Amino acid sequence: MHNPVQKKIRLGFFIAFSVIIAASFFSYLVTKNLLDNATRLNRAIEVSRRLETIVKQLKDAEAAIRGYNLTNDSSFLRPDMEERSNRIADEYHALRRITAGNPRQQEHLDTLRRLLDIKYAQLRVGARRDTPRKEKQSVTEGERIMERIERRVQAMMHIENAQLHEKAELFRFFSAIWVPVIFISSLVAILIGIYSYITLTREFRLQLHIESKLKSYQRDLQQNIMLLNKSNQELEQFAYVASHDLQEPLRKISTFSDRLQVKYREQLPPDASQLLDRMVVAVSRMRVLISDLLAFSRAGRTAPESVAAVDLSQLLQNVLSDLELSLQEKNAVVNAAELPVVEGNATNFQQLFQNLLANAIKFAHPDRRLAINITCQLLKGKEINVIKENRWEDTFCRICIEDNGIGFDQAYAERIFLIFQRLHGVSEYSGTGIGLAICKKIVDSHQGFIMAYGYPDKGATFVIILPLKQKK
Amino acid sequence: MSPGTPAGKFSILIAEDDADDRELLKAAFDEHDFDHNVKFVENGEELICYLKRKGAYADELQHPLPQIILMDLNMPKKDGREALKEIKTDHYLKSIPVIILTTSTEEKDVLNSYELGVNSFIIKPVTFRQLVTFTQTLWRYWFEFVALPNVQTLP
Repeated sequence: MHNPVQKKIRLGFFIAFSVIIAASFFSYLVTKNLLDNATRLNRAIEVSRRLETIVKQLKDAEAAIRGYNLTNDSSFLRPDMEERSNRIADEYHALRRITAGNPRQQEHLDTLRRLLDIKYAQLRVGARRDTPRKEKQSVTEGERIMERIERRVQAMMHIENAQLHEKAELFRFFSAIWVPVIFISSLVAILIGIYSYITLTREFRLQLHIESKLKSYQRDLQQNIMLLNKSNQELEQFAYVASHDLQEPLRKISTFSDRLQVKYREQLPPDASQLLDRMVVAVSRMRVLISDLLAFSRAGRTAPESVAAVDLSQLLQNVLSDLELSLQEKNAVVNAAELPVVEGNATNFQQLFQNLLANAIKFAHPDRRLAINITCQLLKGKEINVIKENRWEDTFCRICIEDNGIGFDQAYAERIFLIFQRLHGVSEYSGTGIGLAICKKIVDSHQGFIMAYGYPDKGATFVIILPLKQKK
Repeated sequence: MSPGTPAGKFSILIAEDDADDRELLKAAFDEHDFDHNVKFVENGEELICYLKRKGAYADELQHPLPQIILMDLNMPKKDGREALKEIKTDHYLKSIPVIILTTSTEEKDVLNSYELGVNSFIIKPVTFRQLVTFTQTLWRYWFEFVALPNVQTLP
């Protein structure tokens, strides 16, 4: 769900960015064209102004000379020819400079230069007093040169105008599409912006929603943990009450019945005494059950500070030496492999092995010598199918305790771990059915697993899987 | 002290809230022919009042200090733990041996009691015969073998 949104946003921003880049580039082109056009216009205006100045100066000079020739008034020659030619030269140089980039204009200027020189010569001749005879001829000649100069000037102005006109076409095209292009690109950018805003807002809202959901789950979880802790506490309280307050009346029943037997020994008929005895037996069994229940409630209750590295090999040796007498009684053979060092509560582990081995001894086959095999394997979490994915990298040890006793039907493999569940009558085998329940509780509290495999009349195998390290 | 000395009947003060248990204990002590003076109080508060001679127990002759104290742990008003703590922190009373007699098998109760300075922690016997044996043993141990301080000289 996250990825497509991110892709969309990225694509949107890419498009918006491209549109903005294109619009900027286009604006640049338009502006540049506009500026070029203005420059060209200015140049054309300047060229025509300067050309006009040149023509005007020439015409003025001609008119002045004519006036002088008619009136002989030398005031017509102010300003004199020299001055006028200087002014013309200034304009001419300016024109050279302005049209430096245009070879055709330069050519025209070359021709103009030559024509101007001829014109100057004519004008200088006209300004002398000793040439009145050639007056008529000189006027016609002057007109002809003047005409040629004007034609050149016209040609030059035409070139400038043509240029201006040609570029104006391009300018018109640009300015025609400029407004729609800018408008459309802006619109696209705005739309993408709005779309991105909406998408991001939606995403943000979703995020907030998820966060609040997560927080509420967390609250629920904490509440459940609290409830669980409370019910655990209540359970412990119950166990204490059961062990203490329930024991009290039981103790009284047995004490009073005992007192009855002692005090009225003579008066009681023998069968009454027997009945009392059976009552006492029942009561003492009840007491054992209650104390087993208490033991079960206490089992596996490990304080974090009691968790330490436990050498299971050493621990197993201790358990075996504790059980030595009953092992000897059954003439048992025990083969124990090397066991690893496992983190946990030593007392709990001791009880675990004690219960399992005591079971093996208790349920030994009457017709054959008891053999107990204890093997161990170190495995990664992922090699064991009961381990969840988050613990696949942890190392576990799998300890198998195999006996050749009376075994049991595999159908009961789960049931035997329940509290007070027994597969045999009390008269056949003693016990309350607490041992394996305690084993399971201990293994569970150490984040491990315990399984039983029974083969009737052949034996039983108990498999314990324990992590080498306890997760906090 | 040894049995038969004129000073004494061997006096035991028992704090027990359960009437049946009081009766059974009395009966168990009565099974023996040794001279004894067993008195009962019903809870920790009464025990402390008795020992400090307060209220109904002001009369010194009527209520002499016991040579040993036997008490239950779980009692109404003031339980055995509090009473024990009070006795063992009292300058004069702390020299009187205190024996806890309870049904509790909680390890923390046992440890806690010894930390508070109890002299013995005994789980209540479950048959009358055992109770008789217990009282017999108690008497033999505390009044035949053990030397006790002379409580009468305590203020």
